[in-house]
Amino acid sequence: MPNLEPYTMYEVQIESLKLNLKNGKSYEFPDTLANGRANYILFEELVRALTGLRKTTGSDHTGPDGRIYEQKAYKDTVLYPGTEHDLFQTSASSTFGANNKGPVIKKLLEANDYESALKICRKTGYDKNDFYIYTNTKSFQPIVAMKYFIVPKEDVLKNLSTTDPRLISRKVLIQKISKEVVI
Amino acid sequence: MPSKIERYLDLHVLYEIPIKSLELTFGNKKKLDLLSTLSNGRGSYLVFEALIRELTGLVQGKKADHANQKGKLFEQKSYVDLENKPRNRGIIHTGASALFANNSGAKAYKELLKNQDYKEAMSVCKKLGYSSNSFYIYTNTGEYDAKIPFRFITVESKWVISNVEKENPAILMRKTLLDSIISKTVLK
Repeated sequence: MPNLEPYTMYEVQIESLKLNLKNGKSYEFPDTLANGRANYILFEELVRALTGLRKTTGSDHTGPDGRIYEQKAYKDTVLYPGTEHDLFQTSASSTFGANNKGPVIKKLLEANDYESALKICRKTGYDKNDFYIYTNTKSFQPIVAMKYFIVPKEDVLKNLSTTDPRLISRKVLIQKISKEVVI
Repeated sequence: MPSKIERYLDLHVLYEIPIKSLELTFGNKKKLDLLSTLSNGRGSYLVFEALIRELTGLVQGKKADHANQKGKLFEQKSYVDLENKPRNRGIIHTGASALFANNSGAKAYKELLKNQDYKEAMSVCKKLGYSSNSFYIYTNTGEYDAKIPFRFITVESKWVISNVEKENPAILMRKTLLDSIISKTVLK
C-alpha cells in the first residue's frame, strides 16, 4: 500500500475544488474545503485515493489486511500557529456530543476519574482501530498543502492528553515525524 | 459590488442541469473526481447550496440559506429523486432541522404530534422557519446520484404551509411537490 508509512508526513498541494456541469460551466467552491462539517467526506475520499485504503463501516478506512484506520483532523500549524490550537479531538465523536457521552466524560474528568473516561474512549473508538490518520484539514485553507501522517493506535494511547483522554497534542505527534514525502 | 442577476427562480418550475464532475485539482495539475462524495448529504449540502447561489444569483443568507436583493429569505431542502430511488417513500423534511433531531430540541414537537395538537405543531413550524422564510427551494439531492441531473424547484412559504402533512406539518410529501410543477426547464 502506498503512502501509509507511520510517522511520515505526506503532503499534496490542492489547487481547487470545482463542480463541472455538462454544459461546460464550472464553479469553484473553496468554502467547502474549509467547512469541517462538509470537508471531512472529501478528505476521507482523498486519503483513500492516495493510499489505496477502502471505505469501511464503523471506522473510516480499512486495508487489504483488514487493519482499521480512523481519520481525524487537526489545525495546520502554519494556518493556526497558536498553542490554543494544539490539542485536538482524537476519540470518537460520540465522546463529545452533549446528547451522547460528552456529559458523562466531563463529569468523570471533573471527579478526576481519568481511567473511567479513558475506558469509554477505548470502548467507543481506540480499541476498534489499528491506526490513526491525522490530517491538517480542520478549518482547512488550500493556501497550504494538505498534509497527513499515520500513527499506530498504541502510540496514540501513549500520547493522549494527561488531563483529557479524548485529546492529543499535534506538537507531540509532529515531533515524532521522521520523514517528509511530497506526493 | 454589482448586484447579481436573479434568475431560474420562477415558482413551481422544475429546473434541471446535468453534473459532470466534482474535480479536485492538485498543484501538479493531476485531478481527482470526487463526484461520489455528493451522495453523502452531510458533506454535499454545502456544494449544492453554493451551486444554487451560482445558478440563481441569490446570495448567502444570515438567517436562512439564501437571500435575494430585496432581503427575502430562501431556505433550501432536499428530496430523494424518484428517478434515483423509485421505492423511496418521498418524505421531505421541510420543517427546521431541530424538529427532526434525536435530542431534546425535537421532544416538545414530537409530544405535540403524539397529542394530536397539530395546530400548535404548525405554530412551532412557523416560528422555526415557515414564517421567516419567504421561499423554499427543493433540490433532488437527497442520497444524490450524479447519473441523474441536478434538479430544483422554488415555491412560496405560504404554499408550503398549505401543503404540508396535516398530521406532521414539518413534512411535505414529494408527490405533493412534484404534482405542483407547471413546467420544466433544462438549463443550457
